[in-house]
Amino acid sequence: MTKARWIACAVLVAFGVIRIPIEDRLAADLKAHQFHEMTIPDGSMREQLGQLGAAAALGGFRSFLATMFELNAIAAYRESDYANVETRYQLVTQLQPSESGYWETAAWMMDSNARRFYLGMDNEVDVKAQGKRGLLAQRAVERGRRFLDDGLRYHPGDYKLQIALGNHLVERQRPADFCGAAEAFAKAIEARDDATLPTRHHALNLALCPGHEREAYVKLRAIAERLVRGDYPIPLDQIPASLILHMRYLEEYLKIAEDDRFPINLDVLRRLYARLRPGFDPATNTDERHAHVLRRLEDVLAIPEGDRIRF
Amino acid sequence: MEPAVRIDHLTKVFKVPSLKGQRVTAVSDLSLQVAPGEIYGLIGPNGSGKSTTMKVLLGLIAPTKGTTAVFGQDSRKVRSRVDVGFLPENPYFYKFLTAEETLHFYGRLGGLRKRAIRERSKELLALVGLEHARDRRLSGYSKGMLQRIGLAQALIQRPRLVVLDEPTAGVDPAGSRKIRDLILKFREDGISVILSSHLLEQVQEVCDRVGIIFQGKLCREGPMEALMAIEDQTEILLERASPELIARVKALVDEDAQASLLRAGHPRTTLERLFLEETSGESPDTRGGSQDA
Amino acid sequence: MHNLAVYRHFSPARVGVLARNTLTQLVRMRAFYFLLIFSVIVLVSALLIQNFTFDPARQLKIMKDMSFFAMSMFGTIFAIVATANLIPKDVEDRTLYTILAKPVPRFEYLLGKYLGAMLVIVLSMAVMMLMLCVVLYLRQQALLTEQQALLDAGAPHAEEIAVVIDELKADGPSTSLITAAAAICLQAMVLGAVTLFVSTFASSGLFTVVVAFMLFFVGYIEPVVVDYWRGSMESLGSFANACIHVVELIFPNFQSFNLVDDVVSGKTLPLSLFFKILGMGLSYVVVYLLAAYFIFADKEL
Ligand SMILES: Nc1ncnc2c1ncn2[C@@H]1O[C@H](COP(=O)(O)OP(=O)(O)OP(=O)(O)O)[C@@H](O)[C@H]1O
Ligand SMILES: [Mg+2]
Repeated sequence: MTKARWIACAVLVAFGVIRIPIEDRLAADLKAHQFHEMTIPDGSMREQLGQLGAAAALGGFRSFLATMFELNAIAAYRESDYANVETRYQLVTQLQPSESGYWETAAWMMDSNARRFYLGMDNEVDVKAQGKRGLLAQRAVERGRRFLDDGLRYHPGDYKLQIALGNHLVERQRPADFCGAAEAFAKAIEARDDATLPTRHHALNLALCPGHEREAYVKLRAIAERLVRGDYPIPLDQIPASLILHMRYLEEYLKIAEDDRFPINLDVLRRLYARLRPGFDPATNTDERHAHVLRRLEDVLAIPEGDRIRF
Repeated sequence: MEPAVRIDHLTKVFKVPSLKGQRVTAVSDLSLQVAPGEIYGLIGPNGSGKSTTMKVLLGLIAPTKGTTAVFGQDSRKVRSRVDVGFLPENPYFYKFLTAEETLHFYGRLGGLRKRAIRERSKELLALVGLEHARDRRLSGYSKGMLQRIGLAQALIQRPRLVVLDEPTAGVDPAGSRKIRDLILKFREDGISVILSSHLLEQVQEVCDRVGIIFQGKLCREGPMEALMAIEDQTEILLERASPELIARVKALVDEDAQASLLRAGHPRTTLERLFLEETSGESPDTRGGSQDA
Repeated sequence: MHNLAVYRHFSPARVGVLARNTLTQLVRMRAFYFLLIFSVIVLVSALLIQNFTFDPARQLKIMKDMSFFAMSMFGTIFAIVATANLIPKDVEDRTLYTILAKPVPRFEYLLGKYLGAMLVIVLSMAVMMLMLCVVLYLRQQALLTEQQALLDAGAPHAEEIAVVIDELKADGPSTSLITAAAAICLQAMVLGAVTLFVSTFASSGLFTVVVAFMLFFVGYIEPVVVDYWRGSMESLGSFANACIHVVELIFPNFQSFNLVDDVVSGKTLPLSLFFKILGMGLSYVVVYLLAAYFIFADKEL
């Protein structure tokens, strides 16, 4: 080695000695701003290894690769190849867990699309006759739930994920968990200013959560009053039926005096029942609230026993 | 006055890339000076160290021992290159530039202003005869054209010293003649030149002084006439001499006890002979005992 | 005859001439156009592929990912390949003789060459970034109008559309995207300086390219791996720690410049932290150029 090379080496080593502590601090600063979060908070060891393997192998292109694998997953979805949709989305969410949208889409792919496919709801063929399909659908729902739970571990307060979880708990889970759903929607409320949708769903689910009926009634009334004032992002003619029905139900349940009830005439409810009843099939329905609403409506409108829906 | 070039006891040893760490002494203890305005020729067989000497002079390689200076400035200093123009052997330039762009580039590197370069490059392209190819990229240039653009490039900032390593290599006879005339013009302008060449005839024609270098050593040096002169010989050059006159001269010589007539005819180049003698390692005794007539 | 030249110890003009020359050289090289075409293809395909997804905001993410990928690839490959041959080619072609025979300090030569190559990278990155911002903005506005029209027409799920609109608004061109692009540039510049350093003592262009890629790869992965080890094991043992320190000492830490993934995820970097990263990158450049100079100054041509 020539003298010049020794000098060059010395310069680089000296620079290394100076820069390493600075770089350590820089790395800590970046982590403090949620940059370079490559380890999973409390994930299983297997997941961590997967994450590390991905990080090591992919370096700086994790976001890009996540995009590529999602396109891959969507291609599989178009062919209804849900086994591949699941594995691709596993990879996508592991590559970029920080992107909450991936968790939400993954869950939706499984607990909604895959489930519908396995139940034969999109195809003419009656696949339900082929026994295994129900099992597959159930598994798809469970997979969807896993995506939601894992996603929420990264993004505890995420608006879309909490809403997805709330919906999952009442629409997919049997028996429905109204209290859990109310809690999930409550978390979503905190994630957004004027979050009318989760506020409404929170109150609706709370109405069906034993012990919270009065609390729910106060909340539902507040929403109804806003609606009537016209201070609501939904036009009056699109008012969700469930809002009024639940309120009616709670007024009955809490034995609220006739004069203190929210003024809605029975005619509105009758038209609502007429609108909802024909599209409802107890065999395929998965929305417990929907069934609840209709049952309550039948009670409130005093529909004769023979005309009621047979569950 | 400062000499244009001063080389003091220059030794250059190269490490040859090999397992044994061999060394090659390219130049050993070489000293020479070139006076301002002088044209100095370095001649020697292949691998004798001419190019190496020039590179050291230009600071391209560091001397192992000794010093070199240009107009009193140590070659290791960048400043010493302000007054030098260099044409390396088999020069090669950026292929993607045109002749004009090339001159602009080197002119700017030489510290010239844009306007000065424009004028100067027009002048130089005319001088080296490349006006017709000024807008062509150098990728399409022939060897001789490259040599000429190299010469123009060396002269761009009007240096007081020009270092030419085999300036006529690969150039056709007409071009070669042109370069010779150019060098002769340098003398008129007071520009010093140090050049190496294997065309001894040309060296003999243009150089004021010549150094013969062999195996890295300067083995003979002197003004052209002195080198050419053979001490114990006298050349008589006659014009319109009749055969009778020559016979009479012969008779006169024969009368002398010591002198003898070696040859009567047209004078011939002797630099080549000198070169061969100096570099073939023959004993000096044979010198002058030429048989050719 | 009078000498026309004026000599200064350090002349930005000379560095500028060398840089411009290098820029011309690289621009007149075909490889450069290939890389530009490559990035245009990626941008265009990002536009075509976006109809694939359901989530409108995801469309914008796809465009960003594709474009940043193109920019990273371009920056990395160009920084290595272009700088690796910069000096060896001049040495081999002996163009260097004529350049250094002019009053050009060797440091200026190195700096000029380096800056020329970096100029190509910075300029093409700027063009790509501009392209991305324009396309992203147009696409964002188109999607916003589309969603707003739905909202105005009284379409169902107004609340969900409002969320989509909020997401779209947050996903347009932003300063944090520019910081990410600047970080890619910075990384390319560090890589260029490292490559230039390697090329001053390398025996062949291929050697330089291979070594530079290795330095880049290890320098990229090493911090992640070490971070993982430190996090997953109680103690590593003194030998392993010593090894890590040696690796850290030798390999530049390229993770510092990796902002793209997180920026695309919507995180923003405080400007102060960005300037720290900038400072870090420039220190790398200065130190590696200096090291390159020490070796180059001594080089026998
Ligand atoms: N970079 C180098 N590394 C090792 N040896 C070298 C180097 N440059 C020159 N040499 C050796 O130094 C000696 C002198 O070479 P130089 O090029 O000076 O000769 P020259 O007189 O110019 O020859 P030519 O007439 O062929 O041009 C040669 O033996 C050559 O092999
Ligand atoms: Mg030579």
